[in-house]
This record gives sequence, structure tokens and C-alpha cells, in this order.
Amino acid sequence: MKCIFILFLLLSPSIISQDIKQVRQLKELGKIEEAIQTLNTGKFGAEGERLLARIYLENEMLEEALKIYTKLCPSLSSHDCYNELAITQASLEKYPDAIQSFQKAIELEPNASTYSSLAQVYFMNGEIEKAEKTHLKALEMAPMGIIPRINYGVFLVKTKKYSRAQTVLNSVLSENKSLYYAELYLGIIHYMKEEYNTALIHFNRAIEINPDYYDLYYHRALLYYKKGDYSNSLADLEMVDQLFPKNKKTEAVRKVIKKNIKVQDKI
Amino acid sequence: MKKIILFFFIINFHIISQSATNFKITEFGVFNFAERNQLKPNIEIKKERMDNKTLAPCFSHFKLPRNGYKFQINETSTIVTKKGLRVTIPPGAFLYSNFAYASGVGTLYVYEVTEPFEYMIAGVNHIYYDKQNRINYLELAGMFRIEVFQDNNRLRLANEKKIQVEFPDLAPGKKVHYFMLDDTGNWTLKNEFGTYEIFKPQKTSDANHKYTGTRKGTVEYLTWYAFGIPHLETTSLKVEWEDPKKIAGRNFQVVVIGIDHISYFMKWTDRTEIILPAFQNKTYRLYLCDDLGNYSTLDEFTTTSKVGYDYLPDSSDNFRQVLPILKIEKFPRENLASTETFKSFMKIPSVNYQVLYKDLE
Repeated sequence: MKCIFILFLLLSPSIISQDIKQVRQLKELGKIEEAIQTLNTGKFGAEGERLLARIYLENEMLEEALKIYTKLCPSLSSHDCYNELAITQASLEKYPDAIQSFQKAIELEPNASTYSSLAQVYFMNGEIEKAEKTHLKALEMAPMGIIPRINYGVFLVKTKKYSRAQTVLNSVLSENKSLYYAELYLGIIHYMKEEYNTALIHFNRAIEINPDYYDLYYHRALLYYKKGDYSNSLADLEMVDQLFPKNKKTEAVRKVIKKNIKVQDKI
Repeated sequence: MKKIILFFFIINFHIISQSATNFKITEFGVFNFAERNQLKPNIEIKKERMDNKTLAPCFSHFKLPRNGYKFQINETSTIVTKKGLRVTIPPGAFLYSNFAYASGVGTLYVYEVTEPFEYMIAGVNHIYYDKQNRINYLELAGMFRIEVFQDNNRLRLANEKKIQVEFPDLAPGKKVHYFMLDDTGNWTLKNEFGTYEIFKPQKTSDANHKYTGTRKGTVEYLTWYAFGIPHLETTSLKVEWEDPKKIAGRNFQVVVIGIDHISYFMKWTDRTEIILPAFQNKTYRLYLCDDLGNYSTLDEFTTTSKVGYDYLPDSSDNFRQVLPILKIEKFPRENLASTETFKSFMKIPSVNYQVLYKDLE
């Protein structure tokens, strides 16, 4: 009996690791509910909880993710756990908490990508100077890093430093042509400079790379509106609604366009 | 601002990176939550960074020299380095870390690798993963890296500017490609042989002077660049060692370097045997150094024409050339006195040449 018990103890970690592999496979296959159900049995220990939190985070079940990360991260004390906790908190607009968690992640393992994320949250929290300083810290750590450069480029666009933003984003695109997000923000820069044709080239290129990101259509809709092409603008707004039904951005633009169409009809 | 809705979007298979679910896009930037400590099911070949390799004490004693040259940032500058790399820098080519244009005096630092000893101490490996993600080992024809500083501030190259380089042709007549180390630490093909200019000098070499021409390349961002010939087909070597004096450390770095051509392979292991790649029908010398600074060497040997891949498991059709068993010994510290003493003790060959340039011959 004793021997059987010892054998069980010896085998159990490998059984758990085998099972957790299977749950990971479920996740990879998109069988999210099944994966959550299996993990919720609670037999996988901390590793299982971590995976469950990650699945919640990836699937926008943010409150559930937050609950697990908040409990788990202090005991795991790992960079990755605090990083994911911070992303969850930022998603829930709990910016001061997110800042703290990113700082904790950096304390455990400083890296450029986490500094870059922290910079974003500073910006979201309205701390512009800290955001810029932190972006530059990320760039200092990884001068060639794609994400730190893209994020800094976006920051410069948001703070209306268009010329420098253009240099930064171009530097990324010269190395990798398939970054739709960088194309989007280059398009926005040209849009803000009223260079509408060049902006359209960038938006079209971005949509070609990733036709599933709602914000690309939103900005192209604004551009079509500016060019007076209302039907294409409305069609793009329709795409935004399809891809992101809960968005609050399209309605206002649609109203303005419809008003303009009525005015045109009267003329 | 807080009211602005954040919408998170998990990138499909396109592309911030090739990972499917490691990033979240917001309207403020990209959050990265790659699980760096979590092993993923390894379906594809695991790509490792080629640079910043840790070196064992015998090799790490010497640092790859970095030579500095002052230049005016706002003027066109041409600099010829000690080993013959000629660098032409356009005016206004550099930015500060905040992406503002730099001006004044800058210092161009150059690392140049033209011989086996320098490859040993550079800590850079040479696997090139081609478009089909296949492993290609590079037969080498030199490597360099340019860095630019102003005071202690590193400058970056402006996107619209390119630095022109002429690198000594270390493999005349061979179909050498031009590679760049990208930000993920992987070699990417920049120019195939035939798409860049090669200068072949008229002057013929004699017993005292070996003349060579140049291969032209461009530098678009400041990283390692290498000239090399990719080989899909290799042979493999099985190396074992013994520790009769019971002095060995726990980890061993094994290096093979080409004697009749330029190649260099390096691996770490904690076992007492290792499988290394090598090119077929070539002459090599092998070096081992452990983490305590003990060493062993194997004098020249020649590889066979049989095909073997170090990264595939042992099998009857995966050839391993079994080399004589090495014996670990204490490294005589006096041989670390200088580069020349080290090279002479380890019998590492030098490469000597005189570079001739198209417009200066």
C-alpha cells in the first residue's frame, strides 16, 4: 500500500504536466470553454491557475483574469505574471494599478517591452512626461526593438509630434513591411497633415495586411469623409461596426455624413 | 481620456511577430505578453539568437577589438579601417535616441572579423534560416559591425540614409552572399551574390603580398553584417572527451574552425560528448574549453564527403565522423599573455592580405 502511494506521488507531477499539455492543446484549438472547464476543476495547481488567467485575459473575461492574477502573482513573483496582471488592469482602465504592476514586473526582470507597456499606461493615465521618459528608456534598452519603436511612434502621433513620429515609424517599416499597425499610424500622420492621398495609400496597405482590425476602416472612413466620398465612408463605418459591434466611434461620424448628404440633396 | 474605450485585439497570424496570441493592440500601442519562460510545443525549428553568445574562459579572455574613427556628422566622410573596410557615410545620417537629427563630431566604431581567432572571440554564430525555415550553415568571408557614438550617446542611422561599405574580398571567386543580423538576432539575406558589386584587382599576388579586392555592401541599420556562402548540406562530427586529472568543470564549449577555408562552429554542452556540424571535405582544427578554463585541442583533421546533420538524431543514414577522444588539461595561463601567444599556442591561423580599391588601385 505504502509503495503504491509513493509510486503515485512520483508519478503525479508527470500526470499533471501531461494533462496541462492537453489543456494547452484545447486552447490552441480554440476549444476555450472546454479548456476553462477542465482548469476550473482545480487539479492543476498554480500552473493551471496561471493558464486559466491567461485564457480569461485573451478572451476578454477581464474580471475573472484579474481575480486570479491578483491572488497568484505575489506568490509566483514572476515578471510574466505581473506583466499579464498589468495588461488586465490597463484593459479595465485601472491605470494606477497597472502602473504598479508593470513597475513590479520591471523590478523582477527589466526589459524593453515592459518599459514600453508602462509608458503606454502612463500616457493613458495622463502622465505625458513620464510616458515619454519611459518610452525613451525602452528605446535605450532595445534600440532596434520593433514594439518599443512602434509604441513610441504612436505616442509621438498622440502628442502631435508628427515629423518625428514619421521617422520612427518609417524606421520600423523599412525592416518589416508587414506591420499594419505602423502603416495605420503613418496614415494618420499624413491625414493630420492633410496629405490625404498618401494617407489613403497607407490605410489601404494596412487593410491589405490585416483586414480584421476595425480601426483601419474607421480611419479610412474619416479620410473618405474628408475627401467627400460619403458612400465609401459609410461602407467603412459599416465594417467597423461589424468587426467591433460595441464601438462608440462610428455613430457620431455617421450622423455628420448623413447631415451633409441631406444638405447636398437640398442644394 | 480614461473614458476612451480600449479595445483589445488579438492579432491573428499577421504580424507583429509570428506568435499568434502574444500581443494585444490598443489604440495607444501594443502590449506584449509573450510567455518567455513557458516552453511551447516545438513544431518548427527553434531559432536562437546568433549574437551575444557566452564564451568559455579560454576564449573570453580576449575581447574583439573595436576601433574608433572621428568624423563630421554633417559632411560626407570616407573612412578606411585597420583591416581594410572602407566606409562612406552620407551627411546628416544619424539621429539621437529621441530621433532628432544629430550634428557635430561623431565617432564611428568598427568591429571587424576577418580570421578564425576573431570569429572565436566575437560570440556570433552563423546559422541562416532560409525562407523554408531550413538550417543553412554559413561558410564565411568576413563580418563587421558599425556603431556610432557622440560622447557616450549611441546614435542611430536615419531611415532614409545608407552607409556604403567596401569589405575585403576574403573568398575571391566564390559565390558569397551578403547577410544582416536582424533585431531578433537572426541572419537575413540582404544581397545575393550577383546583385552587389565586386572589385577584382588587376595586380597579382606574389610570395610576399596577397592582394585582394572588395565586395560592396550597404548598411541600413547598425548591426552585424556578414559575407557568407550558405550550405544546406553538411557532415557531422562526434566529439568525446575524458577528464583523467579530474579537473573538468560542468559545462564545455567546443569550437571547430576551418583551416583551408573560413568557417566556425561553436556549441555548449554539459555532457562529455557533442555532435558538431562541419563542411564536407574540408580541414579543421578543434578546441574545447570548460567553464573553469581547462582545455583540450585536436590537431588538423579532414572531413569526409558523407552527409550528416548535427541537429538530426543519430541514425544509420545520418553520418557522424568520430574524432579521437580529447583529454582535458589545465590551460597554461602564460599563453593568455597576448593575442599572438594565444594564437601561436592554439595553432590558430592568421589571414593576411592587402586590400586594393577600385578607385585607388
